[in-house]
Amino acid sequence: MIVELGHYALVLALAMAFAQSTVPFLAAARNDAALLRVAPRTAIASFVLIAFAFGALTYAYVTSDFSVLNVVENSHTAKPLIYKITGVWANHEGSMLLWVMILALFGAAVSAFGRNLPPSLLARVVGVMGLIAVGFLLFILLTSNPFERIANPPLNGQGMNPLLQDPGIAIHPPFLYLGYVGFSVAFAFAVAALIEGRVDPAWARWVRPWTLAAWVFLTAGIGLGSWWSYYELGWGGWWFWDPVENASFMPWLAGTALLHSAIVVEKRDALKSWTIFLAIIAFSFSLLGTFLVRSGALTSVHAFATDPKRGIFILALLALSVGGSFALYAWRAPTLKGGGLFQPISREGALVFNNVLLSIAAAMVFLGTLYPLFLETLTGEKISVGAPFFDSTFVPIMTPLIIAMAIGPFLPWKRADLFVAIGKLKLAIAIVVVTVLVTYWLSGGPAFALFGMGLAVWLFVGSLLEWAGRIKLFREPLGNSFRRMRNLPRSAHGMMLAHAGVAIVIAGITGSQAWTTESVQAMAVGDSVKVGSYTFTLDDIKEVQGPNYMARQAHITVQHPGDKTTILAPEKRIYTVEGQPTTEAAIKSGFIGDVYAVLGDPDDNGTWVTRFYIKPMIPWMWVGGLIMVAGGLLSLSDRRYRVGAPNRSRKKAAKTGPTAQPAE
Amino acid sequence: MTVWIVFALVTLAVAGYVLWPVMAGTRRGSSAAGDETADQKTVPSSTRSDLSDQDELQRDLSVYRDQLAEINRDIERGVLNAEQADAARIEVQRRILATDQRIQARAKKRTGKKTGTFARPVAVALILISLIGGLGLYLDLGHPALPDRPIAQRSDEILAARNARLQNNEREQALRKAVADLSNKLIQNPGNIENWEMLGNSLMALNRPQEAQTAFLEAVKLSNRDGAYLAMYAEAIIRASDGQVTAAARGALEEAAKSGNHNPRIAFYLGVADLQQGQTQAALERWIALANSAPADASWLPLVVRQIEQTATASGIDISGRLKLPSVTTPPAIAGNAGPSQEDMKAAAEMTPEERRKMIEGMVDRLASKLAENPQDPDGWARLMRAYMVMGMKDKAQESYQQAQTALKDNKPALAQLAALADQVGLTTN
Repeated sequence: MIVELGHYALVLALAMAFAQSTVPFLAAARNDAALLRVAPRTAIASFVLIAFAFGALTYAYVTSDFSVLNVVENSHTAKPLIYKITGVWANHEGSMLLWVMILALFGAAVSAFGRNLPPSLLARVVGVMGLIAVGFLLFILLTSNPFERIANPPLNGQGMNPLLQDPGIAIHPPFLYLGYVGFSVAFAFAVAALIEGRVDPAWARWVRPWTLAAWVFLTAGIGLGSWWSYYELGWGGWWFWDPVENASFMPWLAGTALLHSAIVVEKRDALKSWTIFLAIIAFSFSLLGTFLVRSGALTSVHAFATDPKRGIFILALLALSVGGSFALYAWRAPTLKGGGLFQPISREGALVFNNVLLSIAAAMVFLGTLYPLFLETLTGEKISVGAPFFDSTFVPIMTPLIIAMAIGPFLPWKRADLFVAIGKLKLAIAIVVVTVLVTYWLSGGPAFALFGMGLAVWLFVGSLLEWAGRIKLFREPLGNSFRRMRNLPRSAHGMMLAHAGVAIVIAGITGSQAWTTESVQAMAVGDSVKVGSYTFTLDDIKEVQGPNYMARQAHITVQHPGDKTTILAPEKRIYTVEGQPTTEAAIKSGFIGDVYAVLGDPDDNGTWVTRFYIKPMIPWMWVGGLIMVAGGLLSLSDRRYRVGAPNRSRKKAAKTGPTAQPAE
Repeated sequence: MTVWIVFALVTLAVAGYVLWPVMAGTRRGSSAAGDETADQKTVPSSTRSDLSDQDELQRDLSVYRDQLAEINRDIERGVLNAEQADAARIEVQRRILATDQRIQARAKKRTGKKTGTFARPVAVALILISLIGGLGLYLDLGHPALPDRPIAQRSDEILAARNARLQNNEREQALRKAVADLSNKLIQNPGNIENWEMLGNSLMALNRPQEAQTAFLEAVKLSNRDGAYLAMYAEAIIRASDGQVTAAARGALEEAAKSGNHNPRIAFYLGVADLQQGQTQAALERWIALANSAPADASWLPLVVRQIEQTATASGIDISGRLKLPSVTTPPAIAGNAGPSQEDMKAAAEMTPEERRKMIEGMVDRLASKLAENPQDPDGWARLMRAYMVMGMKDKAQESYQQAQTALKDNKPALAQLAALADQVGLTTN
């Protein structure tokens, strides 16, 4: 009965979503106090019902209830418990349920935390989220129902893709969805503002944290995904410009832009219309990503079973929500009054610059992802747009962005002097020169590596300098600086961390791309091979029995002068139910880089194909990503009201002396 | 029943939770005026708008007040200097002024915007209709009668499946042993026709028609081309070629027919050959003649009758009154509710092939869903398997055979009949 109750709860959730997408608008239009209090309740009820349905499906998975078709298709009694649970969202139907549950979670969270919002704004936000929920719940119930039953249940299921039976990928989708769907809040606020015809002061205060939360989750989700592909796919790649990866990267780029423009709205009451536009764009990219993955329009590791009916449904949903919101934008945006003015060279100006470049980058990814699709539809010609296209377009866009990223925080609000700001970065320039020279001396190139390391150091030192300048490090006694550091708003620390994190990611990408050495060879037990300054010895190969797989495990000793000897144990597994092999790479991570070993197949002469990689600096990428996430969380915890103190014009300022100090 | 009670309770709880503010508001409104919620029902519209304007102004002002307080705190903490703080304060004051102007301008523009009390009833109706609609949708999608089937509670099924596998193995082993014994005997005495026949039959039961073919051929030779052995030989060829009546099989059958033998296989497979060549009418004629000449207790008769019914339905040929069978031999399932009625068949005769195909598919679907609800119906399963085969959907047929085996695992005779049928139509048996 729990399964059917879950099914009923899901249907009731659709009913609630219908109520949620109508009653709040009515309440806001009529300004009816009682109905305005009904609005958040519909969102909360919706969430509780969907959460119950999700719990019921999870229950079916955990108890291996094969009267549920979804369980039959994606589970098996021999699977370890954790993968029975993660199996719930490792398939199309279940992951849609997770998607809509997170949507409802955000709706309920806005309702619960939004008591100090103007009730009509809250109602409209809830209403817009209700409209999205209706679309997706209809999609689930009519085309992808996870509660489909079988009258004569089989005695076991068909198992789950072994590649997905991994702790990293198990939590990747929830994070990614929290990110994707998190942008729905900014979207709902944007559409609600358009309906209201004004951007409330509370509006800006609300949009930034929700966007930031979504951004933090999306960053973590993308990082986890690339980490997973790095250690699980068995050849050390971490980003493939795969359409579905791009589908998560586009909302990230748009979300990053939104995050920065939301700061301008909050602090300076400017860029409102643009921010609303970006909020719509960011969520549209999220929906597009969903469409690309679900419709079967693309073939990719990520693509779920293709079903034209689903594709058309999502396409219609996409057209309706994106088209509808843009039409509303075109109609209502002109009525929004612009706020504070600013000059091109100013903090606002720098953030606009950031927004423009990020938008161009998102547009490039969009083009690179969808162009092959359009071309195939129109001419039938199949082309593949891969790394060369993205590398050659992305680097030129990102370079000025990263250069500006170090300068921007030095610029005061409203008006600024670029040379003063660059003057403060003299130290950074010096360190960049030194780094490039040292890198050249140590490695001799290649040129892009020198360039990348220079950029990374520029951004890293620049971010630290800005932070050090705020707390007057080394210019005042340390005690004073410490006190200043403690008083500094958490969002300032957050910004420094996030920017420094980007720098570390860039260093990691550059280092691993430039200096990876790899070696593929056939080895008999007892053989040794030297890769770079590392010696790999194949000691032993033995059979290992896992809970639902058989594995061949190699014991490989790695020796490096001046280091302790390490033992790596890469595996080659065959999952017995699915009959699918997977490679489990063995990785030894360290500060300077990773040692990565993969066991391949035996050949006829009793030797084994092995692949070894030395990947310098690669862990920096994920550490950098973690630092970005930490910076985002720190900034998120800063719930102060934020006003940007504008820099006064020179005439007035002259009286009190030059005070081009940055101000929070 | 409990399901429905729980559903009802859940629905009531949801409705109650969501509608609570309205119920509470209405109650307060009727009992005493003076409450802010109740006020809105009684005060004139202009006052009400003023109230909400005041609300909005207060709310915005409180944000700005907080912002000003924050600026003061920033000075204390040394994050802002006095001059920056001044600039920020002026900024906030500008925003306050703008808010005030905006609200006043709006109040001027609005001249008695009409309000109504219809909003609440409409909202309540919307919510209730949504909930009722949800129930309707669930009735369409859900299976309230299906209980949970966690694997831990299905040990008996797992056991039964294991037993069935074991029994199957035993039967297979027995057959294998028979094949070995017979082969030994035949090496010593290759002239024993009965042993060749038994060997052929055993091999057929083991689903090795190719080898059975050779065995039956020996019997044919030894018996001086006896019609019955020719028919068995032909059947083995047909099974070996996935149910297709090949030229060789047809030749053997025709030779058997000429010999005057009345083995029912002859007429039956000649009919199948006709059907495969598109001569449906001829096939029906053969089968009807076969059925009408059959002894009433012939074990193969129901099979032939079903074949006739099915072919007639699929092709839309009217055979009413042609079958002269003693009523006892008509299997009840044919006259049963799930089979096509005479009207259906008459209608089918007047349809275009496309419509006819649709109708047949509809009937098959109905049958399949009936069986999903009541799987204890061996005849139903047999009909379903045949129907799928006639429609050329071998996968589906195989699937329904598998389902039937699970559903009828306690019904040994039915299982045996189904296995024979599966054999005959060319499905894989275990």
